[in-house]
Amino acid sequence: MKQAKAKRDSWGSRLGIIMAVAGSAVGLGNFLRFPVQAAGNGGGAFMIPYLVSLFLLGIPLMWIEWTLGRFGGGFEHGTAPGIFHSVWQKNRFIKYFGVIGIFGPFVIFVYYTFIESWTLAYSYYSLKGVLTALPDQAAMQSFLKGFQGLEKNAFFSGLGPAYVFFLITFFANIAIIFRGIRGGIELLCKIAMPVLFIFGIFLVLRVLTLGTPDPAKPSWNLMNGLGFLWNPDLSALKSGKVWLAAAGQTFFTLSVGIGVILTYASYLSKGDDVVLSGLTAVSMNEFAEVILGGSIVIPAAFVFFGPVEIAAVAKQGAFDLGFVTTPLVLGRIPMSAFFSFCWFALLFLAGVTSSVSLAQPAVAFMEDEFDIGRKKAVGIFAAVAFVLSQPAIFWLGRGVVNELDFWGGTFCLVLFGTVEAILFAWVFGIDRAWEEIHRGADMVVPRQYKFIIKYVTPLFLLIILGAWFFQEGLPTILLKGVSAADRPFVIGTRIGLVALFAALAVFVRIAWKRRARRQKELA
Amino acid sequence: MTVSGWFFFILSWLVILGMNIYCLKKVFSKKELK
Repeated sequence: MKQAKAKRDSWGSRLGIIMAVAGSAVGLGNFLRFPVQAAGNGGGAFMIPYLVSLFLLGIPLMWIEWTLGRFGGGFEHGTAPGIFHSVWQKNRFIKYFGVIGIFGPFVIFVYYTFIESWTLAYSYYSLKGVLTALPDQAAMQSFLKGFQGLEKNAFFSGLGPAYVFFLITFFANIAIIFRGIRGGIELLCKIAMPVLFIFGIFLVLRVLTLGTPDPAKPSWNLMNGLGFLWNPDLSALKSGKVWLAAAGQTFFTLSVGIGVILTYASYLSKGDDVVLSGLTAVSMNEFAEVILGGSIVIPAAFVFFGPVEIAAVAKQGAFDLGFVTTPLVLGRIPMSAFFSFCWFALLFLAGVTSSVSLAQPAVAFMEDEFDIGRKKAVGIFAAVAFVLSQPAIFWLGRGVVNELDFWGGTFCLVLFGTVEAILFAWVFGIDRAWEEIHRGADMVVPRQYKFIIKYVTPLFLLIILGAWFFQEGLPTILLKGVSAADRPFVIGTRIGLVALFAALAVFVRIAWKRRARRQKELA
Repeated sequence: MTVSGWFFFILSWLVILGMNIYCLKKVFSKKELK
């Protein structure tokens, strides 16, 4: 006799799923990428295209993903292949397109946990007082490179300490996922998110009370620091690049286009609200980004580095800003070890609430489509993810992480987001979609959004996809800027990714054949 | 910071804080999951 299918997991409370979605969205980018984008793209004026993109692109996409996820969950599908197939049952190929919704988050998980582990390590080094004792940018850079295993120096003689922190982080993630949706992810997010906001508010209050720390340099003060970020350059609004940067920031900050929100929402019941919950998750993410992210790094760096150096600081990559400049800045204020710990603990909590969400689609796929129990599914996931994490750790300086980030963290997101918006508005049909969005809704979506979801959001996404492809996608695909020494590593990573995608597509095919066979047996 | 800097700073904070207050107030006053 065949065993009955195990009941799907579910959320314990409404605040739980809101916190989990917000936790998935709030990441390092909120605190590091946003202020750099704003400072470099018109300052305060950046907020005009940013808010326009939020209301025309971010919020509609969030509603689309929540609605599609809940709809697919009704058919016991928690991942994009099944959800897309439920929406467009006549199309045999759409389920293969949905593979991106498992592939993308899995690829991001593979390198993200390693980066997340740096924040845990830096929290530890902050408390030990090691970080705050480093005198300048050069020492901080050297510390980071030694820690990452990119060079042997006075601080580190190898990758050992970084690997220990990676193991702790990786298995902490696995332990949380192992405990399931309600007992693991929801519990984590309900604790971690308020703590993250408390650490963030501590840091904002500290930065906003910095005043003028060096009386010999009266212009290096907080007001001018805030001015560096917020004084608007209205001429920037004429630049298409600025609008594109704002739209890209909105898109990436909300974790839409990954497939994670689809999976999270699939654990809702048919009559649960998605409109208010989705909007609340967006609001929480924006609080972390604009209120907290916009008030910590850049204003504090201005106060200690002054108007000349801050321009170079603002042009740094997010990693240098987070791991080199910020600890240096925090090292110069009283109770530096505590505030430096707050900063890295905040980044760690932002990281862990995102990484557990990245693991969930692959685990849900095994549970829903192959009836594999959660513990076994998490075991398989852990083994595969652990093995595939190793190239990202040992060949970090060889462009492997950049390659993984390009495909998993950028290309797939934009493509997936565009297709799901078109699928929702045009294949599912806007009238049916509108009815589905409002099923059990606790607030009414303004009528104008019917037009926005049907025309504006897909068009906006197509423009971003096209512009991004020619500006950044094509040069990366053609290996522009990759040194000859790194090419074998980058090409090897690319081949591995193609193989992974193909393997997942084969699993989808097997799952559908299995499902068809079972339906025949039942008939 | 210039007057226009303050304008964008305060406006952004008001929009984001307003969204949060509106949503959280509604979330806590509405029904739980089914």
